[in-house]
Amino acid sequence: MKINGEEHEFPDGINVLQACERIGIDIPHFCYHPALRVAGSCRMCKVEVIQGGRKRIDISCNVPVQDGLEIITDSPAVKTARKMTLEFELANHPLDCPVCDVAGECNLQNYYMEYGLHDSRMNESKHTKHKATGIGRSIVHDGERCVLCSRCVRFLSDVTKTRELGIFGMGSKEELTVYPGASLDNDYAGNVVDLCPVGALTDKDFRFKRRSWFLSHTSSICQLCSRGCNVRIDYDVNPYHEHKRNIQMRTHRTETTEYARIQRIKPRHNEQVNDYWMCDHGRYGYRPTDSADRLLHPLLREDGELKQVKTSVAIKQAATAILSAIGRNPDKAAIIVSPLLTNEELFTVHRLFREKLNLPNLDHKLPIDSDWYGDNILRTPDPFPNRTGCEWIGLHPLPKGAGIADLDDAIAGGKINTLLSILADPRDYLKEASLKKLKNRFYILRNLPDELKAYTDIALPAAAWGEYKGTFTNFSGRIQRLNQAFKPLGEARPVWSIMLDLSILMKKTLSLKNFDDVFRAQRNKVHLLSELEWDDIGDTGVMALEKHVEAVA
Amino acid sequence: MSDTITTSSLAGVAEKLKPRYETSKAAMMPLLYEVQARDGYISPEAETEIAELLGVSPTEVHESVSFYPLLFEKPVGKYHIQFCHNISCSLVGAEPLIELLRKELGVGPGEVTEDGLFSYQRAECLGCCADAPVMLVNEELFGKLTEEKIRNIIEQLRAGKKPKNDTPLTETDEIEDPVLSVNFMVPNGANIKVAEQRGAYTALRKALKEMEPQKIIEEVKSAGLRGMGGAGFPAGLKWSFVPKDPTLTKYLCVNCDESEPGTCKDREIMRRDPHRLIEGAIIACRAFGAEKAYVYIRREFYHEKKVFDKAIEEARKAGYIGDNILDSGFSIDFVTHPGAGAYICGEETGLINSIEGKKGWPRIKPPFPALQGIFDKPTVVNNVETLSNIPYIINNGIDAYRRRGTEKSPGTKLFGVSGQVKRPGIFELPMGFSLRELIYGICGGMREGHLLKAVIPGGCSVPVLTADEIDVALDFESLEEGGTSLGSGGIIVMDDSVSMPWALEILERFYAHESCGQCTPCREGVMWMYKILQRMNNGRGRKGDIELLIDIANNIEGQTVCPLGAAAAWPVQAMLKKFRGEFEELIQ
Ligand SMILES: Cc1cc2nc3c(=O)[nH]c(=O)nc-3n(C[C@H](O)[C@H](O)[C@H](O)COP(=O)(O)O)c2cc1C
Ligand code: SF4
Ligand code: SF4
Ligand code: SF4
Ligand code: FES
Repeated sequence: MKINGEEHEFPDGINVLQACERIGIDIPHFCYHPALRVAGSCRMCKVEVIQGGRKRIDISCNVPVQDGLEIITDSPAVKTARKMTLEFELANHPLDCPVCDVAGECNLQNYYMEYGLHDSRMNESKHTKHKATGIGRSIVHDGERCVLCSRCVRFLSDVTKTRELGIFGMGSKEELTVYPGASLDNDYAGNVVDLCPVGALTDKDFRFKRRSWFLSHTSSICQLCSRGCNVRIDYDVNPYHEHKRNIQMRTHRTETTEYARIQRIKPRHNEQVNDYWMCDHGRYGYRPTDSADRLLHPLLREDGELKQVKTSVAIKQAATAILSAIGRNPDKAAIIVSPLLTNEELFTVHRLFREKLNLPNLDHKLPIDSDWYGDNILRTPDPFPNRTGCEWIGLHPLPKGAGIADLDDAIAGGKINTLLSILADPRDYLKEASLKKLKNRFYILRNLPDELKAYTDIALPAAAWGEYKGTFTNFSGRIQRLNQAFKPLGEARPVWSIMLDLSILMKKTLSLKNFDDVFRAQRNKVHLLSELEWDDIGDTGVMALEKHVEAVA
Repeated sequence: MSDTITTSSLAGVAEKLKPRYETSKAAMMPLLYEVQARDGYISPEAETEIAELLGVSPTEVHESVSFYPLLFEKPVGKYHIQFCHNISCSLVGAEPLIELLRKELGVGPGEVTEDGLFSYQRAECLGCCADAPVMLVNEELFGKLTEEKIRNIIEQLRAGKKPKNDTPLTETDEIEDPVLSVNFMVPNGANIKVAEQRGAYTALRKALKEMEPQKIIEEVKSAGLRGMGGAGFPAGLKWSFVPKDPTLTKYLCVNCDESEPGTCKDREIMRRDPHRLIEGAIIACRAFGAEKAYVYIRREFYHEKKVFDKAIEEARKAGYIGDNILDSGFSIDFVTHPGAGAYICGEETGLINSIEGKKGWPRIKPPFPALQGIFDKPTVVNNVETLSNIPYIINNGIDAYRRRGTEKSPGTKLFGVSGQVKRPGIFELPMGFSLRELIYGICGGMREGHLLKAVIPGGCSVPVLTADEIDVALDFESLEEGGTSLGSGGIIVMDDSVSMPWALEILERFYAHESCGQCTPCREGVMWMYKILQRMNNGRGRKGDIELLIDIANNIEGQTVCPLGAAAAWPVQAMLKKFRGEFEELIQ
């Protein structure tokens, strides 16, 4: 078929709007969304369609691509139609842009700049509807800004099937709102904010925090369950805020949301993983990265008290402690990692402690919080992002070794006296008595809760989500890439980098110098993919097995 | 199947209603009426109750309740009055009567009198335009209203008596060689015995016994029967779009929403000769293989629905409806479904959604109903009048049908004439009849002392004709040539006392009220036009208003999901073109 005079070929089953997008022609639209059933109601996506010698203006979102079709996207008739549709959309739209959260990323505003730019001819009274009403845990609704595209309604009826929102009433008085008395609190509620093409549904969590144009974006992977939803971290590393935050963290140790770096999380489209969505647990689960209880500097117990020390001192001390504990008997130490570690981190832990030191007591099977549940949308039954990585790399106890389940007994019986717990709060899997009994309690953690301090001998700060790069392997065996958005706070470092130093000090050097070395080494060992490069993983990940089969073939 | 259900528990009612439809949600509308009859209105608790009974969410129930004007969200009076304020009634003095009603009752629209006896609402067209001015008191229609009659009715009701209803039967004429109005003047014409004596169901026998379905389609095609719902689409051709696959479930949908202002013809068939429609509908089902006919009847036709439901029961008893009818191996079922006061449900896909228990939002096309209609099954939507022609065609053949009318618009048509003529009424005329002859001959010309000013010839959506333009034949092609349309055949006649900006404001008030709200140009643009007109008529016209109105209308036309947008634009375009001077006078 022809678009603007040029011949193109498209696969069956897509519509003209999608076809245009594929060849780089953006068609303005409000109601169309690739993951929702077509509504065809906003009338913004009009193009000229020539079919069987007859010309008509039609909505591109509901015209299937067909042989012999001719589409014109930039004729005067199309331009007039767009301009008028915008004028209709804006007829009753409030002049909220200066105070609207979505300004800067609002389709209505953008299209107006691109296709409208009319002076308002609307001199009649505008409708008044609900303003800034909380309609759920995290969603604020503004009826006047709504363009009634029904995206949110279709999402809630077809994806979550919870139907909290409806378009009630009739004609120009109708209003999108929550069912009287209901609350938009389902586990996927936050997605309606992403879907809303204007500022009618905004996120309480983000409202008035930052103007969208001050945000930087980095692609990453949600770390809160084994699906590994593809996400975008929106953050602000304005040095002034950084400075304020540092002061606040040092002096008050209060919540630092105001000056936090991560401002919000948005899902990224990945048909194979999360489509366009993410769950609210993941969306609002970014706070720990900037939380006030982050561990910023290494701590070491000296004369019965935890004191801040240099990283090199802490690592050296840890190396010595572990070496002396396992000097003659490697059974004396247990290394526990959380399936929260990236593949690169897991790999270095495994190489050092299993391959080099042959420790039998290595495990990752942390207990799962009883509040966690999976569903049939995105949430999986496993709240850890990288269990597959742990299994493939082999972070299991040896047959004669102790796993997490055996630890309390082993400690009570004096068989184990040294613990290295990585990104896992030992209280989650050990009894208090065990913590008391252990001789060496060495942690690599992102935050060190006050209650744990009494049971800490050495604590090294670990880089948090967003602060370093790496890969996760999700529940289906998909390798996905976390990118670094900003530098780690304080002296925090990724676990792999701590492991490299530790290995040198333990005289068991892994002979790896930097991230790239680690990435390649783990890839070679685990995925049998000697060709897989960081860039190959791309923003949407690769299926390890498929790649492997390809490589073998 | 009758709509009056005697089971006391709502759950029982729901269980009875559900089998009429493919989805339980579709039982929502009749169930809502049950609740409304029980409680007087639909409370949030009742919404939840219904949601549970039907296995849908309360949101879906509330979407419907808040959408349809005849589903009440708060209690109404013991006597709820709907007074039509649309064009045909306004032309004959509805406004002063509504004012009188307000004074008599001492409450405004939407309020209930202190004694709980009365409430009233301003209604858009009630589909009885030839009897204007009209009002419904609960389920009873009162027409040809005067101040005195209204006072009387209120007085009687206050006294706890049943008011006398002296509304005359709508004027009509016996004509030579009729197709549709054969039984209009026959006493008890709606009774199956009477109807059968006059030949009802002979065509059905013939169609079942002597004709292959394809042959029926061919006959109707060759007869040239056009759709009478407004668009004039050839009926046989429409049927032929339905897939032939016998394993597919197919439906016929009979459109008796009749709500286009000025149109009041289907009503006469429903109440005076329902068996003609039933017979035509069964033959249509046979032709394209439908197994069920859903008859969508606007709620305001309480009386008509009762007559029609009774006729269905009679036909069922007589063996014309049911399994293996007349031993032909063909089975057919009928379900009547009530509307709820929304004009948009006359649009075929709005109607389909309404039957499915949803808001009457029209659907985008593709898919077309012939492939995916009610419950996503192939569906034909036909107007009452269209289907009522079929028995005649089958009985008498193509040539007999084509004896009347023109080559492209064969046959006859029911014209409803309303407005300021001496004798409004409903008249069957051969297609191609002269508009002038209809107004000055049959309808007796204009009221004493007045001259003709304008005529809207096909329901209020079509472009207006001036007094100089009425020498035109009443058929699809001639009116098209005359820059307007035959539409639904509702002819609205206006005399020289009428201000065109006033009339246009009434029309746009109607469209603004009836826009379903789904698509942007119509939802926003029509209300905008109405507000401008309102302001102009209030003496605050501004420079640029006329150009703006035209620009808005031009950009609604053809840009919307359904033709309602265009229907709202045409009157504006035509009025501003033909009576521009009157609008200019309103601009300071
Ligand atoms: C806004 C609107 C209202 C309509 N109302 C009616 C109606 O009340 N009755 C009717 O038969 N057709 C109505 N129609 C036309 C129907 O969509 C449809 O074309 C018709 O029922 C088809 O029947 P026919 O082909 O037998 O005429 C309406 C159309 C529109 C756009
Ligand atoms: S709230 Fe937003 S997404 Fe929902 S209908 Fe309105 S504009 Fe569309
Ligand atoms: S489903 Fe899992 S991976 Fe996706 S956002 Fe939620 S917690 Fe994160
Ligand atoms: S044109 Fe009007 S009535 Fe038709 S779908 Fe659009 S808003 Fe609804
Ligand atoms: S995007 Fe096509 S009509 Fe809204």
